[in-house]
Amino acid sequence: MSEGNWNDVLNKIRGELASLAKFVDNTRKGIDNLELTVKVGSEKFPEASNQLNAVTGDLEKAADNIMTILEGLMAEQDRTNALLNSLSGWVATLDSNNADKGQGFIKELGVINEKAKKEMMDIFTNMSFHDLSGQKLKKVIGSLAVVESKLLELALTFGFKGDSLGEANAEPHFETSLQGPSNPMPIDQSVVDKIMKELGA
Amino acid sequence: MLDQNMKILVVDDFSTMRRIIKNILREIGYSNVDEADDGTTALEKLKGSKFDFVVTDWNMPNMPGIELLKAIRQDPSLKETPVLMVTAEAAKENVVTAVQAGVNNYIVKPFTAAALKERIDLILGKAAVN
Repeated sequence: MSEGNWNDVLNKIRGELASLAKFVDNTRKGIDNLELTVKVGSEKFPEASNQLNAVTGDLEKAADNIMTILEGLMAEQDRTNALLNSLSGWVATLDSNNADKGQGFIKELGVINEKAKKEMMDIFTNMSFHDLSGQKLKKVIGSLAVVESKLLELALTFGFKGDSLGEANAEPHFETSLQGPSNPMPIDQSVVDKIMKELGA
Repeated sequence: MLDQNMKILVVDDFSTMRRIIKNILREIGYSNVDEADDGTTALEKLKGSKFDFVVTDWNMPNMPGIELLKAIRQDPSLKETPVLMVTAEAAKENVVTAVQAGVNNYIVKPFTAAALKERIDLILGKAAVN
């Protein structure tokens, strides 16, 4: 082979080595970015899960407090009803003009009391938002835990190390069987009733 | 006249929901109510004591409501117990699955006190006819 040909081959090899070096460098940078992404994710996902768990706990506490207050108020309304009944007995002993007037007031108070109680019961029933939102939050927390575990698997595969990945060997904590409404297109009660009727239930 | 002293078991993993259902039941005249937080506990209670009616959620840990329903229908001593499902699972397939498993009625959350009363009356009315 002539000297010119050797130079051509060497130049070609130099070019190939340069592009190989560039490729290795890019890959290394890519892995560095990935490591950073995994590190950030490993810190942020548990933080998000903890925050959502705290929200669930706060919701439960608030719902419990509201229901305790409502139960107290509803008990007071039962007492008010009993007092109105007693009052009605006493008013009946008055002269007919005052008795009629008194019974009219008692009746009106009774209606107001019943209406207030019904509305409190409605508020009570609407506290089921806590159950429904709680189930949805559980699903989100579960999904975050799955992503977190995948990040840890990735960290193990690439051998990333760091404080935030110190627990990479630990089992990720998440519920394997997530409970909660799974239907993206819920039907309303009238459709449920129709199905029940069609199926003869 | 429906038996206001009948013993009802309310099964739901959310304490809030159990409390809501218990209060509604008390408001419509049923105060003899016990509770369980999943199907497994409910089944133990049902086998240990006589209950006249079960109100259960679907989504629960350990044993979901649909499995509890199937277990009730398979147990000769429990199979006649009326079961009302109160759940957020509002898909046609869920309703059909529950009916096929022997549910007596099905309420979608969120619901009203009137809706619960109507379905309990319906179930007990039918039971009285049969």
